[in-house]
Amino acid sequence: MLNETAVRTWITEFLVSLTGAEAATITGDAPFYNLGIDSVDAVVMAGAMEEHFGTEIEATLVLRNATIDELIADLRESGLLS
Amino acid sequence: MTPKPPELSLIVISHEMARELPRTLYSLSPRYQEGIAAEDYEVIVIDNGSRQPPRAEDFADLGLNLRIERFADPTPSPVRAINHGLGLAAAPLIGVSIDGARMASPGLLEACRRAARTDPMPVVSTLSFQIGPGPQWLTQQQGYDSAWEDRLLTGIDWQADGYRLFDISPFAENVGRGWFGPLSESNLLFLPRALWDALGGFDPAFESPGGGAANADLLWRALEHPGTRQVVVLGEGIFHQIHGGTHTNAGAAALEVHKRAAKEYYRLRGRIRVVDTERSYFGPVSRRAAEAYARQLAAGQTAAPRAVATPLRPGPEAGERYIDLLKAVLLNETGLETEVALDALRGRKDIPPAFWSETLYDVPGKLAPALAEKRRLRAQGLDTLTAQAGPPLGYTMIGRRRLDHLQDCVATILAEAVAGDLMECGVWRGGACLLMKAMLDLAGAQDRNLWVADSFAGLPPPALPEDEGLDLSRDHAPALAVSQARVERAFADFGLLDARVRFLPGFFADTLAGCAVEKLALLRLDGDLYSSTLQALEALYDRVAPGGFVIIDDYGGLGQCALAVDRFRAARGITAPLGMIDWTGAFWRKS
Ligand SMILES: C[S@@+](CC[C@H](N)C(=O)[O-])C[C@H]1O[C@@H](n2cnc3c(N)ncnc32)[C@H](O)[C@@H]1O
Repeated sequence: MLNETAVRTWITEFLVSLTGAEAATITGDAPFYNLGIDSVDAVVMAGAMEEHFGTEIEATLVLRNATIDELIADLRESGLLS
Repeated sequence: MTPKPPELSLIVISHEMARELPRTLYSLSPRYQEGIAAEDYEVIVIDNGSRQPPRAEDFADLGLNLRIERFADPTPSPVRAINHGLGLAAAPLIGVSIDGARMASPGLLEACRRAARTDPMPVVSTLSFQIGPGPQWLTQQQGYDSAWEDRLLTGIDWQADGYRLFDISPFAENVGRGWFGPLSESNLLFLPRALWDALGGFDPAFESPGGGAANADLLWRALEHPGTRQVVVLGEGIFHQIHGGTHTNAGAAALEVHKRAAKEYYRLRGRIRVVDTERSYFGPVSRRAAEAYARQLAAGQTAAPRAVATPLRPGPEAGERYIDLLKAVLLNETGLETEVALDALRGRKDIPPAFWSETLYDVPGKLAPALAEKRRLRAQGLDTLTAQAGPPLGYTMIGRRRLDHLQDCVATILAEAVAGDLMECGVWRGGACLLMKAMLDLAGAQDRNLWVADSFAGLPPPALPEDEGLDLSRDHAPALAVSQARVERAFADFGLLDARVRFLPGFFADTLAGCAVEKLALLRLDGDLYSSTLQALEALYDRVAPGGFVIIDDYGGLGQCALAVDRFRAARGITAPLGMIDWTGAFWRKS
């Protein structure tokens, strides 16, 4: 089971290192698209997440969600989040 | 006397590439490469486990300093084969092409050699493109295959002018962060031998099929190595042929493959970041390269694809301006912002209030990447291939290149006084016809009719075995069914409706053979299907005057349509060369 805070923290750090954006701009409702994340990055992020958390993450997880909040809700619906 | 060692060594990895490698090697040979002599470079092919490995004697006539080796211990990842190749290279500057299915443009090797001279420790990087209408992992799910690609390549006669590869390869693969952003990888790159040694070659820890992220990793390690500088070669490129490669051609599984590659990279390197060091750009851009490349670049990647208004430019006369404006409107280039705003709503359950108050009024600010992408698609006439959005909201879906080409054809007909009427079979909203009629009116060509043939109810369902599976009939593709009243209305709105616009409503099978058309100077076929294309050719080709144009909109895009054309041309012994207009449009001139 993943923990929401850990996922949020990791995603924020990941996006900071990938895009060079300020952590403060990466809010839960900021569209990934506006952060300069394209579809390739989205799949890369799924791969890194899978490795980091040791849980299978679907390749389309980030692609099909527009924001961190939506992604968290999606994980919760799939029963991956405690 | 010992022969002088080469200046450049290029390692090319092959794996089951019987179709692709001959083209790749031709494109690397002195017969095709310009500005570099045969003795200046060597090519070393390392075959990584093909069942029938390529043989050097089969390429003897290329005049290429070529060596082909079978890698003794093949693995799914080509990384070890590459490192083996690096050990064989004799030159001080060594290149690697991790995927032997990539063809080169004619000035590539000379440009890389010169680019390397600009820095003591250069990381010479190249741009890569994918042949065909779009990203191959997507287009192959829409039917793009080797036969389709072969047609595109034949249509541009690439051996004669390799820069035309740019024309059929609108998708640039490694510039996802913009033309002047960091490259995501370099699928062919040259480093000095000392740098290869310092890096220890590729990292064999990358064991994924195809090498996973090993290629990107190599580039990033090279860029982070002290004292190096990236030099990106512009004006040249490498072009990926479809071949069932693990990454580029994984089709629907591509996302999974990319995910696993990223996972492996993250496991090995503990982070993911794009290395964005300062770069130089090197572009010894030849005239031919400049022309082809400018078309590619201008196709929507830049903000102003059309002539920038400099004060010194002589003003075009009004007629020219009218046609330019008309074309922009027919393509809805002036309405792209609205289309992009609407696209952003597709599939959404609820619309955020900010959409109405902000996004809609600031599409360039709020949806910049999508707008840039839409420009590119419209310029290339690629909208019809994108899964997310439907056909454009303009009057034509054929895109800028084919519309410009149509204008050129009509202008030629008028200038050379080729006899006959103009006709389109398959008109949708009528945009291509509107342009033709406007040009006739402008030229005062009172004697020519414009024939507008369509069911005005969409495509017929597939009936022949050749069309099996291609059901674009009204039930499946309602957007393709446009009534005659609507097309007539468009003619009237533009002030172009008169008695010389002749409508032929009904399915081609019923309307064309017995129609009143006597002589045609231009026949434009855009009915998509095998049946529609063949019916139109059989009914009308004999009425095309000598010097007249036959234009096939879907030759590159739909195998069914191409088959009809190929069979018809073969049956009639038509040898007039078929030229590609862009990735899908083709034409020939009747002799
Ligand atoms: C791709 S659209 C044409 C696009 C158009 N030329 C443009 O400029 O955008 C295909 C058109 O062909 C018509 N069509 C295809 N097969 C036909 C047939 N056998 N008989 C009549 N109309 C046909 C369809 O109704 C549709 O309007």
